[in-house]
Amino acid sequence: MSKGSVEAQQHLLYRIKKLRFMDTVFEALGIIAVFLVMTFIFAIILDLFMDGLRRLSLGFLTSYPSRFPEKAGILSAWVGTIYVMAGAVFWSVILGVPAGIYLEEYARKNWLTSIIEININNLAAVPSIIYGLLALGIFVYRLGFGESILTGGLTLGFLMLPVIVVATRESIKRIPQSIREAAYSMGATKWETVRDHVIPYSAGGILTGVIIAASRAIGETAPLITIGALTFIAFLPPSPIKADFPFVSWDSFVEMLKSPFTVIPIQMFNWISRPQKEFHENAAAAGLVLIALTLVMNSLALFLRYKVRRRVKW
Amino acid sequence: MVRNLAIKTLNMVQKKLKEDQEDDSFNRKDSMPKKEPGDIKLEVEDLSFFYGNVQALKNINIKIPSYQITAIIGASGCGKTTFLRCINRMHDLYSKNGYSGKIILYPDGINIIDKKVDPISIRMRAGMVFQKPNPFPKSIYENVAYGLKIKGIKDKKTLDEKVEWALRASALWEEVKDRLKENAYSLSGGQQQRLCIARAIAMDPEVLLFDEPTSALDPVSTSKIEELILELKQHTTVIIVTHNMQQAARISDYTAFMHLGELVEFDRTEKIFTNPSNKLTEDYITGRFG
Repeated sequence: MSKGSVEAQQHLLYRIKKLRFMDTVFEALGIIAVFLVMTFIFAIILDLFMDGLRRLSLGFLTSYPSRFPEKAGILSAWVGTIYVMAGAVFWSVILGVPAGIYLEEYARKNWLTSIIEININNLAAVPSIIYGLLALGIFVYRLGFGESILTGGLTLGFLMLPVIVVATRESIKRIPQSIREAAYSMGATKWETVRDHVIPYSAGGILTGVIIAASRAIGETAPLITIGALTFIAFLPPSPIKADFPFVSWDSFVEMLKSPFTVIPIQMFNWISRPQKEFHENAAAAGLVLIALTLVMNSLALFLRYKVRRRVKW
Repeated sequence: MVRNLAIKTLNMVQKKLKEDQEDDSFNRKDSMPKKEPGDIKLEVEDLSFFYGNVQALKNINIKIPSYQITAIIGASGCGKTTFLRCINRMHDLYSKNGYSGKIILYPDGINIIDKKVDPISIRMRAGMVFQKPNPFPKSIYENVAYGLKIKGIKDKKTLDEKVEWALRASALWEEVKDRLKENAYSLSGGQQQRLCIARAIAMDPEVLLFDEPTSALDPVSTSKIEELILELKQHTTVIIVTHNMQQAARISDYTAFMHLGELVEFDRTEKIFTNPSNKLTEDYITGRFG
């Protein structure tokens, strides 16, 4: 072995050593970053627990808000949240999923669809209060829906819409073209291909998108305050489900849609802006309920994704 | 008078018998049947095909015989797959594609690429097996039954029978009969490809188009598929695009050699591989290019 090549060898070893050191450095930085993020999240949750756990009880979930902090509860708030979210999911799915399918499967790829695509992606980034202003102008005044559950559902539905359109499109894009060609080669029409293949195989991704969008929307306060959701509601909207046959009532359903509402984050906002410390505890307890709801929804998304991924694979 | 009639009838019967024998020997020799047009399945006249402004096929003229295996060989990009996909109008799925010329499908003599002909009706008559196995992520049973379902067959018993028949005909039945409810992706690559064949033949296609069906498979699976294709010509007319010249020589009755979008030579496979008339064909099959 010549002298030159020994030197080259040594240089190489030195280089490797240096790169290995960079490996360690980067790993350490990564661990620190993850640690900071986790600490931050845990600090928030721990803080909520310490403040709110004392107030968390069945009574808290079954009482209306009150001017006495120890009697106050979030019954109207969580019921309102569920009604509004049901509306939001309904509107965003019936508008967003077909729009996503159309854009991905039917629309020709030209400048117009590119503009639409850019717009939808930008809509996802529009601040939520803008949606509130839009809803105030259109739903509350122009269409006369008032400060109702219907308006709340539509507003949050529109907020979720771009996320769902994007999730639908991404999910459809993941279906290999060869699967569509297989269906077409057997004489399937476009609609049969969409119905039998595109929708079933993308359902998991779409569902995950819906739940993720919903768990963002559930915590929204600004657009609902903008449309005039109340902060003090001491009654429940009429239930469309009845104890006796036929168990559902259209009139009560319409009444429900028209009734004013509040949601958990608005209730929290209301309590936190009061001077008494006891109300702050109530806000923390409500925050715990909201986090629990979000966690349940996210776990559901994870579970569904796992279920569907196992069924559909390429 | 009566005697004359008897002799006449006898002559006629004898003549008929002789004709029948000739017909039989015809089939046994496996030669190209001569009856026109019943024995030609597809008659391609001046077929040109354009991807936008790019002409991919140039004035193809070819007569594909019924119940025979026709192989299409040629270098990459010569238009073999493009030609195959004209036959079931797959190009219609993508815009900016255009055909000119005729592909006449017998026995009824319709022009496949006529704008007035619905591609769906063609695809129900001409099945296709793709390069990479592409079963649906559904059960094995659902995969085979799919084509029948979109044809409108709902009767469970008919479906069961047809699925079993197609799986037997594609030599897969013994391997999957106990797990028809399992996902098709639990099968091996070769089994998946045979499932795709089963899926296509369940529709009773008059023409079965294979687009390099074994290029993604190992040699054992390949030989199984080749055996299968040989069996299939009893039921249907087979056209197979292949990169593999040995494969064309092993299984096909007729071979078409394409080069740069043109059909260079079309003849009986033995002729193409032993004594090609065109210098280009000879160069290709002796491995001088491609």
